[in-house]
Amino acid sequence: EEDFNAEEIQKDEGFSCVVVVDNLPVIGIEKYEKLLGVLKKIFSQIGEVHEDGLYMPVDEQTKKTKGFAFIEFANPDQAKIARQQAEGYKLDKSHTFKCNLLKEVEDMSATPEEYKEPELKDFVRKDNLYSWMLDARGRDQFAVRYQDMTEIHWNDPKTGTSEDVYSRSFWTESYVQWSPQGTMLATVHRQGAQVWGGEEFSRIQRFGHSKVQLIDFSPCEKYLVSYSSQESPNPREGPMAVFNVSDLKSGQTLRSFKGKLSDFMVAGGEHKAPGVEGALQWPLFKWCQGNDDKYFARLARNKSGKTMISVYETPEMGLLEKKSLQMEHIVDFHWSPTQALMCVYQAASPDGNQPARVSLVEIPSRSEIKSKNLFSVKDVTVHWHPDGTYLALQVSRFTKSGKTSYNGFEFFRVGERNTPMEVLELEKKQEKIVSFAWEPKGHRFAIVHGDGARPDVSFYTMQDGQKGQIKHLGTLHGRPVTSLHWSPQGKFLIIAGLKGLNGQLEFFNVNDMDTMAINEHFMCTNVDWDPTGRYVATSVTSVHQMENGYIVWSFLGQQLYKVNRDRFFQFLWRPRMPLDLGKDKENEIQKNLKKYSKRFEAEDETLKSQADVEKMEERKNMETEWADFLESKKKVFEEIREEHEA
Amino acid sequence: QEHKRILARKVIIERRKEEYEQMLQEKEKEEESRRIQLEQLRAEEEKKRLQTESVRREEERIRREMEEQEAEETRALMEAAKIRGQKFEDGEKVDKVQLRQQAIQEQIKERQEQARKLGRLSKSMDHFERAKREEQISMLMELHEK
Amino acid sequence: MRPLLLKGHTRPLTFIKYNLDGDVLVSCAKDHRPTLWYADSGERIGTYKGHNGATWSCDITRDSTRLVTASADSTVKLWNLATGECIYTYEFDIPCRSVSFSLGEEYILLTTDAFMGVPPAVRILKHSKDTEEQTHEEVLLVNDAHPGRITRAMWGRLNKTFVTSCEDGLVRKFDASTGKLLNSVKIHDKSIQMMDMDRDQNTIITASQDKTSKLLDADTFEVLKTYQCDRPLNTAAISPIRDHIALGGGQDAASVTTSAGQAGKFEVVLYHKLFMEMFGTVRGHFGPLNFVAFSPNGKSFTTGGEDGYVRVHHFDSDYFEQEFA
Repeated sequence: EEDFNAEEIQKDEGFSCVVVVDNLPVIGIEKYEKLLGVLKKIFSQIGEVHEDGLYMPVDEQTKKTKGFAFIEFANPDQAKIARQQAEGYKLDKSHTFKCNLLKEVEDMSATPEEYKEPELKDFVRKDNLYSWMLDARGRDQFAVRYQDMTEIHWNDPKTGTSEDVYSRSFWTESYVQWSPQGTMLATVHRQGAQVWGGEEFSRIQRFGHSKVQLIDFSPCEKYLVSYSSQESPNPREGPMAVFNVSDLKSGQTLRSFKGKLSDFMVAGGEHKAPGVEGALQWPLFKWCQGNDDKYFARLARNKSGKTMISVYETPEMGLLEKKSLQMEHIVDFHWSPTQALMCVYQAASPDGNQPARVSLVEIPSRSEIKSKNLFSVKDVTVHWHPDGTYLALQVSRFTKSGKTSYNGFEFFRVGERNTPMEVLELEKKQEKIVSFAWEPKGHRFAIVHGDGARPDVSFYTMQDGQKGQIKHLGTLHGRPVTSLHWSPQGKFLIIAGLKGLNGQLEFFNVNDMDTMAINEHFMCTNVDWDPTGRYVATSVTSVHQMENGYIVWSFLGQQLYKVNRDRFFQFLWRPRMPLDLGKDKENEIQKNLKKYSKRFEAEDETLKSQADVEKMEERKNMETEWADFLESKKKVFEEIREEHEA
Repeated sequence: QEHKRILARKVIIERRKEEYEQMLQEKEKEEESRRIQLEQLRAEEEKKRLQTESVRREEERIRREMEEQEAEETRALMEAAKIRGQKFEDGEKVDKVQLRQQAIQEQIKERQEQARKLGRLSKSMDHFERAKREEQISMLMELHEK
Repeated sequence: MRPLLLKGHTRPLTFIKYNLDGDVLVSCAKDHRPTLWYADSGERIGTYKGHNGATWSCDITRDSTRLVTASADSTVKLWNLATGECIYTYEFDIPCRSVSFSLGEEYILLTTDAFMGVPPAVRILKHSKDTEEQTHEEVLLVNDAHPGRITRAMWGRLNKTFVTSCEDGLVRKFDASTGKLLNSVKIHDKSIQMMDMDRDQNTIITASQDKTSKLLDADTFEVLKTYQCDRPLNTAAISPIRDHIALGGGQDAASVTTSAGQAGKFEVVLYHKLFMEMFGTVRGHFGPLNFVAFSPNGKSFTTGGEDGYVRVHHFDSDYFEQEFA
């Protein structure tokens, strides 16, 4: 759905629809609306100006306009015409319009001249890319995108709001994406992708890739994969795809994969004719986690149409040991979240001689450390624990008649010697499994199961006493739930009934098996925890027409602030680079926490009283202004009365 | 003549006899109907009695059940109160309303305690995170210098 | 707050007007029958029978003897406020929308809608206190200044000017004797649904479909305050005693997607006039809010909804005691 929105914006709000008008009078705020009205009148005669498509940047310091404006038209042709017609238009004696298409301006700035290059790099080096992690009050950032705006904010619950960091209109042509460790923000443009960072969100790097659609970072932020597809010039052939793997530091493309899009759409066990496998999986290239971006892999087919996994090695970008892992009927594979180990799921062979199979394969040795055959399988869903300690397989099997199916779970204890396996069957096997979710930093998991509108939520632990077995902890009956959202710290969980269920949110404490709060964010579509598990944001994105915007809550379920934004597209917490202080240091902090607390509480108190003082002052100013206004009106009235009486 | 008289007498006697029988019959009939009426009356009275009896018994049962339930509730409330540490004398008369009030108060207190606990947890989580971030600053500066 | 639910209308409400004393109020609705109520108890006194179309607005003379109503049936009617007797009918062949008496009540300011090729217009009609002398005399016609429906027209100071709000988002000021356009400013991106003036005629408040309400300098049209709302607005009113304003609106019936009451946002929203901060909402209506009016003493306000109900809300005593926090 998000992609669809991205597409729409790309069409609607492409830079080629925007005309930049220069040489306008520099005016104060009080005349802003008036000049805007004049511009609108002039340009509406030429073409269809986009609703809210007029914008004059204002200088923060002088509170005056900067002497130019952006005007967005319904389509690129109108923009071109407007540019020609309005070029040289005399607004008055001293102001003659100078017009450009924003696209041209962007192109100009996107091709920096030779001599500028070293200066730019120097600037980037000076700018501390980690500055956002040094916030004195330990706050986190988030990005939001709505209409044509992209904004970066500090989440500032201590003042009951958020603080602006940076904002820019038309920053991206489709969507934005943080790098996995939060160092930079990527924007997507017709000419390619760009990444931005540092205190001022200056450009760090550009990646030329015409008509790029999707991008993906490697986990350690060394590489960027970009993808585009395009109709083939030969109408009988399907679309062509290009995947570039680029070096983030230099911006150089290190390897390109090109070919028919259908050749990259590999999924499913049976041999299918090219192009009938459905959608492209993204990311197509899956990065091995926690290994310094050493390997990335994709599902492919060999010349005879059999599935295989191609593993590539960085920085050379070649096929690992020059050959792929040949395994038949692969449906999908998943890297462990923490090590060079992949879980491969192969479907049963069509002739029925070979059952479905799930195996754990180590890279680069390619040795299989564990595997299991599964019979009468309909489908398998793979759930890695975020710590890579457990692997859960949600297996749906056909009954003997083959007409119905039932569900069960298979567990691999990857973190333990010899990878022991365990089976879990639900009491009612026929029940639908709505959702499965591992507790991060823990050993519990939750399952939503049931067929009606109000299914049950069951909790289990992988660590039952000394036995180290799965144990049922409890079940919540009849919840209006569509998805579960664990805090990144574990322990707390939001049981959410999104979209059709009106956005009911149950804030649940799993340690005490206690409901802390039940709230509603009407029509809520997304639930996103901040990286620390202290706060959580819920949002209604433009998949719904109304109620667009977001709410930030404490993990206890207290609403901290709500922001309404029409045409709201994205809410993205800025990820935080994991920095390990070491167990000793953490224990020391825990031991001295009282000392820290005292200081932090004092800081928060000061902040609060300061905010109060500022607010009071602001109000006082408004009251004085008003009193002056009324006084001036009295005079006007007196004048009129005198005139009337005379 | 005599014969005639005798005949007439016979007829009279016959008639009297008949009349008598008839009277007897009627009397019997009357008695019968009175008996039936009486029986009906009695049956009705019996029915009424049974009905009131069953109503009474039903009421009794409900009352007993209510009492039992009351006692049960009181017992449960007492149990809960005992868990909280309240002591009761043997045979002490306890006021259920008061007990319930206490239980509600206790529940509110528990909720408040829970909220306080979570508030403390929230603070310590926040402070731990902020402390860790402070300690990470030197690491970040090193990273930046690289 | 103790709300009184006034049942009497069968169709959506369009307008509410208190008399100067504030003891009675008249409500207009799409059901042809303006209704007179006791403002304090909500008791219905009577209805005014005679219109054959929706009534869009009304006004009451200072001495509370007369009522003027404008209707989609192409008439403006003068009534005896107390008896409900129709005194006079101005007849047009176009729907009539906004009416108000001039200071001194010599004139009536009227707006008429666009109809069958006739453009929307502002008219000034002669009004006579003596029924015998009442004639249909139009002293001014401005029919070339508005590209869309004129939603409200109000007199300026000493009847020298009048101000209009229009569907095109503009407010305009005219010379009342010549009809000359003196000033026009685009205030809203979308239609201005209603506007109101404070008693001293210093400021104008607007309510727009663009989800904002703005407070303007009534003389210069300078935007003094902007109230950002989360719903399209139909109505706005300024408290006569405190620095507060009341706003109302909501998604129109056709675009309300769910039955949940809160989704449509039908509450009255109270803002601090100077600080531009919302400080309260009052629920009640089942459909969009079409009109809100403060009582002249500021101690209560009345709302009219698309749901056909009129609600009178009396403020609690702490409303008057509490400082804005």
